[in-house]
Amino acid sequence: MAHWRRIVAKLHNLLANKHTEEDLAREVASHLTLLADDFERRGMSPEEARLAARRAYGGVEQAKQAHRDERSLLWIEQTIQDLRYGLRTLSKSPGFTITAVLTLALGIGACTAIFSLVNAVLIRSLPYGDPERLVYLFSPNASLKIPAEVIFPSYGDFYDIKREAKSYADMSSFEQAEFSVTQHGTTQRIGGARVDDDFFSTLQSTSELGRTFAGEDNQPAHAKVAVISHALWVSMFGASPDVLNRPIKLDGANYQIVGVMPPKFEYPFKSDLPYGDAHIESTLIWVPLALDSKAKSSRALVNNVSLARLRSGVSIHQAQAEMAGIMARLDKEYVADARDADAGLPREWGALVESFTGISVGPVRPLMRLLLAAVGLVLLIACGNVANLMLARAAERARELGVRAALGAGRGRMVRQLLTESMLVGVGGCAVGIVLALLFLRLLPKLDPGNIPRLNEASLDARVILVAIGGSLLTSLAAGLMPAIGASRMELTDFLKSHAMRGSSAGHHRLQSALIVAQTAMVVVLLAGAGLLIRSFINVESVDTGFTRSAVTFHVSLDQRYSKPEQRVPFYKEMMTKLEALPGVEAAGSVNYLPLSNSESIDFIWVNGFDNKDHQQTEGGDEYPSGCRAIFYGYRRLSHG
Amino acid sequence: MTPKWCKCSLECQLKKMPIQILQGTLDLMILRTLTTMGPQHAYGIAGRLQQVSDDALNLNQGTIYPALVRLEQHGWTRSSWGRTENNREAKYYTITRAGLKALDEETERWRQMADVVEKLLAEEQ
Repeated sequence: MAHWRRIVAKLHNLLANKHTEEDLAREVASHLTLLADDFERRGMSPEEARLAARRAYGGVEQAKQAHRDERSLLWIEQTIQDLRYGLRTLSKSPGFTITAVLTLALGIGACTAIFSLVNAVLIRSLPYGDPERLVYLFSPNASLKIPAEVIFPSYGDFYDIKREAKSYADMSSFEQAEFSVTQHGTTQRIGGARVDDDFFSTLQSTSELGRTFAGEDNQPAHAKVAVISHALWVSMFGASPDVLNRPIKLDGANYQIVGVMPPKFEYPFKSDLPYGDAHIESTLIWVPLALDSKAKSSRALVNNVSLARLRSGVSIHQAQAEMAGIMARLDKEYVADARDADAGLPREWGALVESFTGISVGPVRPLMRLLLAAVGLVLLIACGNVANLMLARAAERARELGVRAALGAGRGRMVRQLLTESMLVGVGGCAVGIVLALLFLRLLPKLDPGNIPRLNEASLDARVILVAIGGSLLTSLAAGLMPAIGASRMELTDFLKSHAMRGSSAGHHRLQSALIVAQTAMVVVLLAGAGLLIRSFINVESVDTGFTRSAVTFHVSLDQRYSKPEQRVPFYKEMMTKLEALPGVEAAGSVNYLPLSNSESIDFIWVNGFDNKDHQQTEGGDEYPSGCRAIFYGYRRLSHG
Repeated sequence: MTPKWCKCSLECQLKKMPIQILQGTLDLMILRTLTTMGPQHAYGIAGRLQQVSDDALNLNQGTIYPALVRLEQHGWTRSSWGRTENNREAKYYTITRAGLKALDEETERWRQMADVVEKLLAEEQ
């Protein structure tokens, strides 16, 4: 209690210093008067008494200083002194200050910008409840030599798992879909999804306006309802609040809008799915999946996605083991679906449970680490540079420091003073660095390579700012510590004897050389890394893709009016003829999936006169599963190979 | 009050040690002076200490200022400006209720300490 009272009193004295100081002077004066009075009473002359009183009292200044030391928080007072002095000396050498601040700012700015990116991509939580518990359920088939994360369980299997599995709090199945939306006479193609009743609850997301799907919505007879994204609400309906129950025309059919999702909810993003529809960047509209009972029990492969939320306390391994058991039983219970059997695929669907975050951000993790390491090196180099600048400056200031030491400044006090100065440089560097980071974040969308999730959400939030401040303080401390200790280590006697300008230059030179060596090493690492990256980039660029560089691509998808092949063929024929008639067009063609994209259709081929046995990949047949593209009219002419 | 050790360099510690030991003792002596003599100014307290110690406690009178500040900040004394019999202004210190309690505790602690030291010294001989 008394202890706390003291601290409060000290803080108070810090603020009311002038008053306390006057009070002290008055008290000392009164004390001296009383002493002198006493001496006079003993028979001294007033003058003698005054002198005797001074002698008996001791040093007035020492007493006052002891009083000050005792009454106030000395270190705060000293810090304020240091700050004032530091600001003064820094403003006296603007060349040094500006160089040091800018050097630090570059390092801090780069670090802050990249960290804000890492923060948005890896650290900041996704808008799906607790995303760590979201998992995808895959059913890879060992007979297919394709990535395991391509195939999800068929609807029949999915509903069996949903019935039996105990690992999940929620499970949802959905399909990606593209829709042509007609509004005010113009038609645009948007990414969407057909989702079941549990889709939004699995993602723990609720609508911003209206409702999500429930009850009868997923009955085929009532399925003409839609939930739209915030972005679509703004772009198509001007964020009008009476959007609910308004009709929206999807692929020529009328749907009724029942809800609007909040801004960040556009699941699934392109990067949220391992092998999603390459044409869909993000999802802007959701409609009911509305499976009939036949579809629900079908064991045939479809392009569905199985998403689930683990119960708390259940690990991915437990869920995996449980799913493996269920799938093994189903594999015994059912024969292969007729179409799969025809293609030579046995009923051997495995089980694979993978975390959503692993799929979503896993692939970019190494890239993010690489970027962080690179800017970390830049920051270290900047730190070394500033340390070097400070060393040079400390050598110039040897005389000043020597005089201060001679006047009785303690070594700790001098180190503190020099550190305060480097901290001031750090604060300046931090401020300018944050401005630089803001500029970089403005530029960032233009550098978007397209496969980094949530890149555009990178911003300077509290966490990023904290890291920037912490980083700059640490950097300036590191940069200032060595020079400060080096400078304070001077031998006072040597200094005084030699009137030296550079009392400890030999030590400085060693330190400076060491710093330069370290910096050069880091620069070499950075340059080598950057050089290798550029070389890889040039290599990738110069790969012969088999296409002329003048080829341009665009995406066309046909709605339900063209559901039959005999409707589609004339459409494409006519389109190609019209395209080739355009001036400047040499050849036109089409393909179902663009080469070098992550989508592919798989089919089975049999080559006559070729030893297919050697390449036999399926157990049942002699066919050879292969990536396969449907090409159309003129496509060959586009490739020069 | 537990003695606080200065956390600076060894050299500094050695220099300050006699004062550090004195510190707690000085607080105790000032509190005791204020209970026996009533409200008193710094000069009066210093004079009393000199008188009681038969001038053995040869300290500059300015030395008691830190102790006075400390006691007041702990809330053990209160100060106010007043006039002496000779109509000189002076700052008078008064012991508070908390100060009386602290004095009891400090006295007890001092006695225990003195006891321990006494016993140790007796053993030595």
